[in-house]
Amino acid sequence: MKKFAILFVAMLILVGCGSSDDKTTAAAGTTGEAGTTAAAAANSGASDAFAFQSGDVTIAMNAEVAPILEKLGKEVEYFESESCAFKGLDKQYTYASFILKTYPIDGKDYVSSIEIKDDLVSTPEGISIGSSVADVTKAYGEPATAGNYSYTKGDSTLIFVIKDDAVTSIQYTAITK
Amino acid sequence: MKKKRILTILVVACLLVGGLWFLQKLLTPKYINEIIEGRLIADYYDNAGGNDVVFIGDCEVYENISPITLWEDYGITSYIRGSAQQLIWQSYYLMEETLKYEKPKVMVFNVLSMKYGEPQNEAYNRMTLDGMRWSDSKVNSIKASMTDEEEFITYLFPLLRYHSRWSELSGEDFEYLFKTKRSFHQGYLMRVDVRPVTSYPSPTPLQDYQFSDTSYEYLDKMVKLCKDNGVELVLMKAPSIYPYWYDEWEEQMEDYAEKNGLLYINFLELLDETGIDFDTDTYDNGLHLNLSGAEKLAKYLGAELQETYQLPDHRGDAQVAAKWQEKSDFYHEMEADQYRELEEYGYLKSYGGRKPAGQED
Repeated sequence: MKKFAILFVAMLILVGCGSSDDKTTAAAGTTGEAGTTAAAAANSGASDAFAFQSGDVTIAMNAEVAPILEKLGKEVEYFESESCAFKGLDKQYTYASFILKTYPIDGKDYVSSIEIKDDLVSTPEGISIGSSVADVTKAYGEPATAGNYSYTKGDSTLIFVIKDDAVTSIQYTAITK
Repeated sequence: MKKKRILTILVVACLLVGGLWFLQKLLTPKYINEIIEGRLIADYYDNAGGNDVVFIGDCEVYENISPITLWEDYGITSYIRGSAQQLIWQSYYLMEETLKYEKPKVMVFNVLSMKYGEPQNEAYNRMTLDGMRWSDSKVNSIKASMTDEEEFITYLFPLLRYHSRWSELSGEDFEYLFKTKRSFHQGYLMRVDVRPVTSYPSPTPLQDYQFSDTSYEYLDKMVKLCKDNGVELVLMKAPSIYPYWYDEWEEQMEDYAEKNGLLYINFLELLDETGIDFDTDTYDNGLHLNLSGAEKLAKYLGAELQETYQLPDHRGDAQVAAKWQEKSDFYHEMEADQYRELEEYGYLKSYGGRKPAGQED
């Protein structure tokens, strides 16, 4: 009986051993937020991710969006959609030259992507719609896959869509696995 | 003395295994009142067999088609094996698994998941994979689906994945420890509320519109699987206007269907024919249809499937009809209850609805 008691206590310790870090990842399929693991990214990855600069507002991928929206002011257009199966809304804020999208976790929204729409704004490295492929590789280096102008930094990617040797779309995306 | 020792060891081992099994049952998410989509896959096993049509795919099948309407209007027996963000290899292995339980005349696959060529998200993986019964199909689906951070053993022993849920346990974890709740209608998730399409986000340009080799590999496998089993494969694109379905994707699907002699129905191009109206037939701005839309889609699809594949009308079979009458009753009871909640609260309080603007917490 003594042995059983020891084993059972050991089992309970094993089961209850989840530290707060462990809980963050283990909760992905339980609390249901679309990738609770993304919460970790939201907390830790924002400073190590690509960031877009709009005036004096820095918009980093996976950063909490509330203070950013406050600084950006009123959007031109707003669209929201329910996350498939998960609680919360994916939101889309359209500004004059870019679109900001968010994802929800535990009642807060985080930056999921930025799409630059025109050549009135550029990346901090100076690339805008209409820049050439040579400009892109000069600023960001040769892409890992030839012809695929996609760059990764921390929990984010920066994608340049190219047509006829010119940038036609620029997209920052948060990596939320 | 030796016998007593062996007996003690056996008893301790049984208690240990039993204790771990109990803890695993307790700590594994039940998906009872929230994210109920997590129960969709497991719900099939109580309804397996006797279905002439099986739908396979993501939320564009389990929220957009009413199997009860297919029954009531055409006598077609059907089931939807859908789950949230179901990836194409998961669909393939669900098809393979379904064929171990029954041989439907038609399988309908929704093609939106062609856009994903690699594993996406553990939370969605769990909702498709954890509910599957163990088989080689489940093992292969797990292997194909895992993201870099996931480990196979956590699917084998979910306790390793969910052990830290002890601090999140709620009443439903105890109440539904050994039972579940009836929520679906042959895999269909009902919503009667309306949230019309008011705006429409412009599509994001893509670097590459070509579907991945992996997606085509599994689509080819579906074609072969169905052919080998004498099942007609139909491809469909549900009339969800978001996520955006690009023209380049549509061309690829049309070409594939033509080359493989498959029926492909893009419901985005049949809004007039189906009568789907995004002012009244969606509950979330055009992502999914509500009950009204799902019934309209089923009416059109039922006619198409019956005419093309001469599906039998089972309404004259007393045994089958009795079974489906019970399903219809449950469906209409839930429909009435949802309308009651809409009337009483202004939103679907018990069915995952959102409070109207101005009433949020």
